[in-house]
Amino acid sequence: MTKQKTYLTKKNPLVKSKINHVSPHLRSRATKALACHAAKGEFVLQECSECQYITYPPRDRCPKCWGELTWKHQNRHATLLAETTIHSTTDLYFREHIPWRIGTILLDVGPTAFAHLHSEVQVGDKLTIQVMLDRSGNPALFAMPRKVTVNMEEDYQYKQFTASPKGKRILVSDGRTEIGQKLTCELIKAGAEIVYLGNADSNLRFEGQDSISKHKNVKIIPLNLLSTKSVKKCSQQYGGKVDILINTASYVRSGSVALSGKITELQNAIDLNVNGLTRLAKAFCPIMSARSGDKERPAIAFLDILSIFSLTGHPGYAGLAASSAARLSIINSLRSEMSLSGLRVFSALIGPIEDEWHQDISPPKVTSDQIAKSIITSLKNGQELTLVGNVAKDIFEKWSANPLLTMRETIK
Amino acid sequence: MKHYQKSYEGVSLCSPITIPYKRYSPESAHWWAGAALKELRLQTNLTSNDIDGVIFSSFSSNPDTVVGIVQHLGLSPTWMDNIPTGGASGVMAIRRAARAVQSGDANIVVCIAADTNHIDSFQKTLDTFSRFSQDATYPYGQGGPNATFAIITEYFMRKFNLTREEFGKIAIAQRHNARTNPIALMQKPLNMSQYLDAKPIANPLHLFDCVMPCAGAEAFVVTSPEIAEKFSLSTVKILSTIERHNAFPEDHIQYRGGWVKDIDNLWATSNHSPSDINFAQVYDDYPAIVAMQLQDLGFCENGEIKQFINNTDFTILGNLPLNTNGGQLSAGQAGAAGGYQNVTEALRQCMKQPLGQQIPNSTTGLISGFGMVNYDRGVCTGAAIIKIDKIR
Repeated sequence: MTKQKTYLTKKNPLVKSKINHVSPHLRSRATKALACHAAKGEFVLQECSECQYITYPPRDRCPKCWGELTWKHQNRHATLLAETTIHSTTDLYFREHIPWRIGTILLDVGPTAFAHLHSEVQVGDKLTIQVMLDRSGNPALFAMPRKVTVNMEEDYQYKQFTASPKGKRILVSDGRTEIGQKLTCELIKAGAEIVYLGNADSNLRFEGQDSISKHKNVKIIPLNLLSTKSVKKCSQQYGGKVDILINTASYVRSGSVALSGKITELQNAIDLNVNGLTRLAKAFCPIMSARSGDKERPAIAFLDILSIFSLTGHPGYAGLAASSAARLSIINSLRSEMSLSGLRVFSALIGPIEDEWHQDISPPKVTSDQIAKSIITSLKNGQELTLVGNVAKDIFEKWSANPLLTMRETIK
Repeated sequence: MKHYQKSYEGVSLCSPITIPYKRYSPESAHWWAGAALKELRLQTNLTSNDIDGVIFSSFSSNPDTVVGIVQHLGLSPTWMDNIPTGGASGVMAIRRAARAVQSGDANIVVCIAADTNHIDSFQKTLDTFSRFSQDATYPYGQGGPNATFAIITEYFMRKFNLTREEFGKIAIAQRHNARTNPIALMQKPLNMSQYLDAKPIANPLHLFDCVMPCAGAEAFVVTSPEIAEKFSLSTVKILSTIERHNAFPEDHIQYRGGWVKDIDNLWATSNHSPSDINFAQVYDDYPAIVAMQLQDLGFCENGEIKQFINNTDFTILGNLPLNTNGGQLSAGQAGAAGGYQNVTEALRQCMKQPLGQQIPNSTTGLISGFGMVNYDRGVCTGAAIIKIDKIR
């Protein structure tokens, strides 16, 4: 059983914070392709399209017949052949984390590989292998015990690859919505130490305010993403104690490009969905990324929730789709930028929500509950990209296969 | 497939050069290569007009390869080669240069390995060492080859029932040898309790299982007996050689090297057996790799390496003098020069001019190379058996 961690409550302000280092950064293009699958929580390895030989590390041609390789889902089972505990290394990131255990695994499907080891696995054990993303956003194999045990996720090495809410201080940007409140409840359930819940207008009461403010682990704080001043002030007050930031804010109005809707709706959508996100990132990411190397209470993740129509456009929600496309672009740029600092950037792509703003879209739609639970799972698994709901999954799958076709056939 | 290796008739190995190593050097690999050439000129009177063949090996000459070195140092060869295989590069240089001389493509080939060691050289070499290392080794915290060799060592110990004491015996014997070599970087005596109690690096490796990176240069000349005589150079003959790369990809963890595939040819071609060998200069990045080579090269039956180590005295006056200059474990690892120092020390022992103590009877020796942990194991292996020809 993994030992449960006890959390420190206060940090000594006189001690110089650890500088943020990230795990080694250089990777081949083939290995970066593996990262795209790891981001979705998939376990894939390259397989030769001619002789079906399965290979690792990532190659550009089959080492048996020189055929072309494709990424395929594979059995995750393996055995631990040998291990070592690293006590000394020149790598600046790992120097902060030694002693660190790694080993050679033999995958049931054939290849051997180096993998990070969960503290409960020993030589000879049967393992389940995951491809995780490390703090530089690159893929790494992680060997877990085959049998699920109590507090398994509390393993020190495993935790370097995840963003579990347990014991974390989390800022949820918009608490006025059902998503914000549902998510807050789930975060508390998952063991968050405190949730700072943003409220854009303190003078205007909102639905659910009474019940959410009753939680002793929730603190409602003033935060208006439309105001640079408000976001800045909030970051000055809370930036130093936010470990995970989740942006739940979204401006949704129906309306097309030409025949219906007003240009002000597009302007509003861009101001909240794009500029709001950017204000948050500009105010919080510098201080959070500076704390990403902190050993006791590191800042870990920035998560954004956005519409799946960011990939395709949408005739009836043109403003939402356009601002979400910009939002996706901002998140992608931020992820690259933060990969040098160790702050992980997550995104949850969601389908139309069951709420008052999506009345004219027919089901299936996603509920706030589904969104909240998916986000908890993605943080716990360190999975950077989550698709919530059947619409999001369906559109993403089609878009991955043929983006142009998917744009043409998006729901009229 | 039977190996029909043509003889090395008409080839002489001459003029071993070692530029004393430094732990850190602000100079470049080019500077160290130039130092080796200058020393060669002082010892042999060979000038750039005489040298018509060049082989170069280095990890720190970036962006230059042999081309850059040739122009930088004002050479004008008719033949050249770049050998980027680290610990296997010395044996490979012998093989390539010998055939160039036999065919007449070149008459006097100078083989040079030179590496500098700036404060940040180690990290720079790692960063660009190999694609598989970038993708699938360094992200696991190794920060170099130690953890990879820790896994190889741990597996080797389990497979062949070895303990740290056996590896300690090798490291201590080499330190003993190094103490006679005034230019070995590590001169302090080493005993078993110091070896066992040393700082842990990556289990089961501890400090004295690991080499110390440093700057240095090694060189030797490959030419014909006639030319060697003209320049009054002592000569050593090549009896046989082998080379093999990526030998056992099916082994899940490395416990043997490419030597195993070709060892019978090596001994048969040389008309010698391991018991005829007066000394062995084998690649020693870690003691487990020394043990692996001794077993794979046929000094003991497969699986009996433990007893062999326990029954053998590896010091200069022992029954199998091993790495008589101290090897890399005690003399230092000067990058690719680490793959040439086994060659130069072997030549010197044959020529009766070692850096340290002379082996009493040293006519015939074995050189073995091992290099390039491209991913999870050493890929390149090679070996050569040499015999003294003329001492001048």
